[in-house]
Amino acid sequence: MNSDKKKYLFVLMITIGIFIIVFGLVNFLNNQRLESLDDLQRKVTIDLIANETQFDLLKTAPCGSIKDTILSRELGELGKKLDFAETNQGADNPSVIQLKKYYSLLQVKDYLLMQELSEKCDVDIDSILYFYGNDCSECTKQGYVLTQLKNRYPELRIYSFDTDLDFSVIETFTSLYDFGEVYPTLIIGDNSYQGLQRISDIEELFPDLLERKKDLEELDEIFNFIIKNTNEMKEDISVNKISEKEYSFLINDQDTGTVSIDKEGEKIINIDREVVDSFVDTE
Amino acid sequence: MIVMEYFLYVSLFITLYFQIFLLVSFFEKKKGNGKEISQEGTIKYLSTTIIVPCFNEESTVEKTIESLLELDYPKEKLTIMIVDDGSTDTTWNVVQKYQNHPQISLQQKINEGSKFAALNFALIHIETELVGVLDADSWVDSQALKYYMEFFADDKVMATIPSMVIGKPKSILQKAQKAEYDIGLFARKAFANINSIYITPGPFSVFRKEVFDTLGPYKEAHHTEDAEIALRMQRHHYKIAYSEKSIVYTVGPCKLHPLIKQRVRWVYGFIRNIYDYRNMLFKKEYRALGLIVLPLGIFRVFITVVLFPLSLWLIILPLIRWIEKISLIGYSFNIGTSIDWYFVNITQIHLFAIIGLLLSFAVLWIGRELINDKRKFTVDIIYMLFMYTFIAPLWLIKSSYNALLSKKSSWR
Repeated sequence: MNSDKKKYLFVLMITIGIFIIVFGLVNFLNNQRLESLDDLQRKVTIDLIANETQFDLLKTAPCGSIKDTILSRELGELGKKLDFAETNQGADNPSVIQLKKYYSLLQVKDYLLMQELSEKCDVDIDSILYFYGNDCSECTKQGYVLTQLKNRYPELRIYSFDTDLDFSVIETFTSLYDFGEVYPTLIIGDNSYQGLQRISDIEELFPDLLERKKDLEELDEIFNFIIKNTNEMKEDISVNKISEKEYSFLINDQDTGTVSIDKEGEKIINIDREVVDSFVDTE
Repeated sequence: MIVMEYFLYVSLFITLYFQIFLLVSFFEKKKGNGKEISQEGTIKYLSTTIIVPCFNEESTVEKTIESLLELDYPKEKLTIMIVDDGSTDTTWNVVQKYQNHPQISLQQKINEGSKFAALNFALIHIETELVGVLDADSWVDSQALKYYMEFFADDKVMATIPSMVIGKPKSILQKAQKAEYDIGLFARKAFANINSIYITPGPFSVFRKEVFDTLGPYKEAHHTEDAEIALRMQRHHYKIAYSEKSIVYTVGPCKLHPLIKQRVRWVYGFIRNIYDYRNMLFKKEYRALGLIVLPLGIFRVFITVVLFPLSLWLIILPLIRWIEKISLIGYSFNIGTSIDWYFVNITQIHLFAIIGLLLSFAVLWIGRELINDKRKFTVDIIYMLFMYTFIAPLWLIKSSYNALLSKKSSWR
């Protein structure tokens, strides 16, 4: 009987051991994840403060010099990762809540900076404010739509706020727009849109986005055409649009040529041979 | 949902405990007389009668009888008793060719609806030291009975059971059962080590005649007389041994419906018999069998009944979400060139699933090692996992339902 008991206990110990290892491992991985999130958060913060400072310093400087630096792409990445952590570890995880508040704060800060920039420098920045609540199935769908939209138009700035997060900044922010507790709510420009908005609905509100996307695709095509004809690396090529149907390009900042599109839509490449020759000569 | 989660982990804990318990039992060194009789001269051949009950087995019975005649066993010590249990096909005609065979006796009786009656009918006519049963859809390896004598050399061993293997599997379902039976061999060995065998299956279980003389004949036992007799023996502390080298081949149902029917009968019988022998549960007297094996056997049936809808929901829910998403934003096929490990989701459930899978592979390997099967990992394990995920819950749910309502399940 005694040896039986010993065995039952032994098996129990092994089982408990396996459980401890499994739960410990998952816990460890989750903590690693939160830590990496924390790092990212810090990086975004530094970016934002840097931008703010730069913006203050360059108030008198030409707008062109700050336009590129100010757009912090990592904010979007942070949002995605936070979203994953939320579904993974539960929205009631204290660390997740803490990170989410911080993220909301960063978003507001970024939004304000963008506003200031667009006023001062007269640039058009497309942004969407998105307010959602928990226990809202339409919000989940709206989330899918916005994620897809962001993938399609990376330059689009989407700020999302969980109104159920007990956070004064969000409360103040929502009170500015006065849309009642209907979710999902999108604020685009000065208008608010309530209920699920589909991709096509939102695209219609940003006509310039579509156009810009078309341009980019066209440019991409030109790039590929040049690469095919010159066997140069993409990094070495730069392309400029001259007119509706004509592009000039540089290779290694030296070799120039043009690509034009004729009436049938065919592309024709012209490489300036003199430049090529002189390039060879100097070598 | 939180309650469900705790429930899930508690169930997983108990299931894992049971699996580890079996593994530890398997590798336990058996105490007592471990001496094996290996030399030909020292084997004591006991007089044996093998009962072959048949009910409409015209196509398989001949193969069964031939395999018995080819047993490597002294002819004067072996009798084969064929009991035609009122077949309505040509079974009786088929067996007539053995009419004058010195080792074979042919018996015929009216069908009474259950196998136990045919077995008891045969028991009346038997005077040998050992009595065995071989279902007419099974056939034995020629050394099977000889290996049994190693175990019957121990006076305390009252019955011995063989390694059951699915012979010549054809359909996917049969291949799945082959893997399942091979895993079963591992469990059988583990149970044997802790004296906890609770079933003496129809294909080639052999008993001392004394068992029936002292404990009485077979009982109806919810159409699972082979489980009842084993439990009855266990209750009286009769020892049941397992001879892993004795191989018997059996046929698994080829199609889904008969398979489910067969399993409903087994599981229903298992539950009802344990209910009948419930006074063995949690009794120290019965050691591992009463404390762990039988209670967890029942637990595992009911746990599946509850966990199956849950896991189905866990599979379907993301699927619904995914379809919802696709219908909303369209399908875009983009595999990122680099995987961001951040987004690789590993949860407790995933890890337990991996542990479960590894354990399945390990016990299949062990099971096949027992019968010297060289082909350890074959595709049938995939079929088996599929069968256990999607089909087994059906029969478990149905048999639990029947057992709770005490509904009879029919034989065949």
